[in-house]
Amino acid sequence: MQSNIRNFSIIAHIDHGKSTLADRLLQTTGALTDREMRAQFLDKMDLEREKGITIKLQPVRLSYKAKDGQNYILNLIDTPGHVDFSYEVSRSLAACEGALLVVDASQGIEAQTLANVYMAMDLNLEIIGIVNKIDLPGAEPEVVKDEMENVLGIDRNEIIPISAKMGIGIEEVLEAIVAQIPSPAPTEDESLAALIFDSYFDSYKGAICYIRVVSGTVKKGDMILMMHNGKEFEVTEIGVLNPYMTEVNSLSAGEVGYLAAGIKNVSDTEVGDTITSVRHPARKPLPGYQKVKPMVYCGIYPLENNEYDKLRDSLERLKLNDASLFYEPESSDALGFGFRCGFLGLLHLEIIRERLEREYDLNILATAPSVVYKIILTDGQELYVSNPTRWPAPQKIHQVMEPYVKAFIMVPNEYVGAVMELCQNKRGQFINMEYLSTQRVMITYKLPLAEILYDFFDALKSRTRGYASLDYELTDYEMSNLVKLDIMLNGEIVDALSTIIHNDRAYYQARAVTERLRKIIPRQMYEVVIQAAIGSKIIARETIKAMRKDVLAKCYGGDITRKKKLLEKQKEGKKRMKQIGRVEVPKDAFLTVMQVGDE
Amino acid sequence: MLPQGMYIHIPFCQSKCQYCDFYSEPLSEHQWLEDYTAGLVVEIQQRALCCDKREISTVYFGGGTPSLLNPGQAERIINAVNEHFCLDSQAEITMEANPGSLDKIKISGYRQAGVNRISLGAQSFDDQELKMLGRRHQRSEIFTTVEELVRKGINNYNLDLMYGLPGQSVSKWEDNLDQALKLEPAHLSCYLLQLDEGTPMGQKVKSGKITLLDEDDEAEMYNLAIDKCTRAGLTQYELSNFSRPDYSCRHNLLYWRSHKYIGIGAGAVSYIADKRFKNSNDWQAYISNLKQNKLPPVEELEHMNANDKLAEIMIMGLRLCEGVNLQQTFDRCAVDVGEHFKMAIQYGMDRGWLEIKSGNLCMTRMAYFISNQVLCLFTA
Repeated sequence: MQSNIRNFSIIAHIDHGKSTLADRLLQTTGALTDREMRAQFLDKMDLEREKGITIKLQPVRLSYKAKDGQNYILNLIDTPGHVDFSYEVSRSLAACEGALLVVDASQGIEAQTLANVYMAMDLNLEIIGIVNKIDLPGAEPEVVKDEMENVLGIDRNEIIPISAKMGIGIEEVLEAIVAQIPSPAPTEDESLAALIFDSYFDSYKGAICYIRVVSGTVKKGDMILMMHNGKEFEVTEIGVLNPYMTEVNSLSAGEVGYLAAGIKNVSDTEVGDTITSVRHPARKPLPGYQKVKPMVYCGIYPLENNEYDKLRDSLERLKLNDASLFYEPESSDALGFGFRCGFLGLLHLEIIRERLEREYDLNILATAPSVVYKIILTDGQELYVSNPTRWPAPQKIHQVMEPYVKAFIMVPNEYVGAVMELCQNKRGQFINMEYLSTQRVMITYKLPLAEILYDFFDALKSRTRGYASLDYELTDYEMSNLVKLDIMLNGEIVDALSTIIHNDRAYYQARAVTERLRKIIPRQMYEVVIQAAIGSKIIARETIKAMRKDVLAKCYGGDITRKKKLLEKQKEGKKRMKQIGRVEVPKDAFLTVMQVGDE
Repeated sequence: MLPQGMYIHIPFCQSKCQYCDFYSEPLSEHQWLEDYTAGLVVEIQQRALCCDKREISTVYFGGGTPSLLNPGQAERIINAVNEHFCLDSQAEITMEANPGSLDKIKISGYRQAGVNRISLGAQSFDDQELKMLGRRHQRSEIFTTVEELVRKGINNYNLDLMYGLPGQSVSKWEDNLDQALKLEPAHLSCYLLQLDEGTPMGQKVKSGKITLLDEDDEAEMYNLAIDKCTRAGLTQYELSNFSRPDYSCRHNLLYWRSHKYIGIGAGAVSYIADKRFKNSNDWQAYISNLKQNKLPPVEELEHMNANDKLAEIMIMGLRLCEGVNLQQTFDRCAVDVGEHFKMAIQYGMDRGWLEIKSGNLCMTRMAYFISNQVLCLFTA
């Protein structure tokens, strides 16, 4: 019965208790027994737990007997809480009719939350306001309610105060879901249209799609067509997650579940694509599809050249489960053979890097992240460059453009000055400032994406004692006075250390980078000269004095064991170094070129 | 037959030096030495029982301050070695000594007992430096002791010197070296001061009360030592050791050539049958155990496989100026060193740190003071 289905998401900032609430809903509706309750069931990966964020979404189907005596099917579609994944969030929201907006009673609304709520409102979702953590000593639910009313126009009287941790207010939330969120709208069209809002790879079943059926019905054995992708498959299994995979005969309009069709590659199950029937195809795909494009690129190299194949295999396996990961082989004079990898954002990059090291036991080196620049050459040709190494010679460049974002920063008003100063330092252009309440402000800036890539968020946090929250959306390319900064070690350019920087800050950055490198590169057998250059012009220089001593003066019978251990440790340290020419460079050095803060 | 050495640890000192991280106890009762000697004798006897190879070519009394032993005690110990092991008639028997603790009676007594080599912890010829190091002796005592040694016919003696002391200038070090060389010792050890964090001096460095020298100065001092010793007719044979021809310390050579050694006494380390193990440090327990004919508890430091042994042969052997003989190592381990350590050797050769001279792989002089850079590559 379509009228007894409720499809909803939870929108919340990191740490505002989204996963805890989801777990409570599972527990209260009996989807999980207490024994199965593991804190935050829906966050699956260790890394997610560690970073306290949900990366992969797992939908879950709950059965709930409401006070009106009827049984309802509640499909909870979890969403990741990070700007890197905003497209995925949008597709998850598109699969729903309503959303729970969860706000921490002591923190108030954060920028990321706001962005997602606006997205939900644009998609005409019914929003249920929830103030969480009312049991905490610092809770100010009334203030937060005011803020939700002022900023989002949610009636403060309808906001539900809860404590997911203590289990307070959970019934009210469930009743509100039933009462306020509309059931899926009936459709006249009988042809199948199902939205893919996530997918992952299962080694036995192939790619598994999480789908929301919008119209028609899908069942096992159906021939289906991915409308954007154009490929056809035969459905081998469909089912629901309650929360474990449970096969069903069919999924019809309004329902949420999973589908397997012997799909060998997750890139054939693009988020946002529409699944339709081959025999009775829908006339047009569901709206909102976008091809996923990496925003950030970096080079990933094995520290030991003989691990290249292992790195390639590992990337291939990660890609199986992550259609948004992009990679292609590249080579660097300094680093040898590796891969240029593209990511949705820095968090995504960080996750992939850590998974390569932890799960695949690789010792890798990542170069500084870069955005994609657009270059118009003197001959009129247009070029997209994501690797500073590929930067054309200055005389061939007519115009350089870089991606800009519109950044929304929410802070208590006493930090406005600090935030504006930071944005100004990062080449920001002020757009406007809005009071959310008497104490909180939303500042909007236009900023080059490259400037907020590396340590912007950290700088923002430290300048606002952690109170600021940030969200941004990509706007467009704009002209910029950018140059390539090369770093030379003993006179030789290290291509992997080149970065693109703004001309006005070139001297300052060059000095900062060379100084950082001097500190991070250990003394070598020879004097090492570090130079920074734009074209052939050297603009900064540092020298690392030659190492003169590295010796165990005494080594006799009684202390051989200990001395050997010292040497073993030293050998391990050497493994974390990359030999460039005759200079041993610690792998972290490749990121330091980006770490030129605004100090 | 490969040689085997015996190390005898005397864990007592009159006072602890500021830089020392060896195991030692302040000696407050002379009876302890007597009891301890008795313990050593029993351990020697017990260890001989479970030893498959009894030939001993070197004996080394280290500490602590072994010269706290009176000649009678030294004699009883050496006699025990002679009785229970096969002590080579030409064995090198070394006694470490502090300049202040040796008088002529002791020297002739030791000699009588069989000691034929003295290693004198001179450390410095500057009274202020000696004080800073916490040494009990003064410069003048070094001269009188050496004079006495020579008079009693012990020409085979070593002087220990330290450089890189806080506040020490290169010319001060040169002065120390000159004074040492003027005595024409058969052997000279020049040690860079390297402090363990647990030592009083190490703590002072950590807290910033004293500062060690710049490594450029340390390197200069090291090179100065090599040049001066060489000119004075002392050949460098190990990173920190110099000697007249035929006066290299045979006992220490055993360590650097990865031969076996039996450690006797509290805290002494042995290397036998692929195992390196250490007697417990507790000297009182040591005495009481041996009174009941029980060997002291041991701690196994390493149990080495073929790779570990090979690594050790390289790491220790390359400390010697002669390096590691490739053929002998092949005969010993049935491994082609050139192949097994291909990468490390290539790395060292590319940098001019390693070379092969008449069948031996050895470090070049430029590598000595930065030798960890290349030695670490040979670890297992």
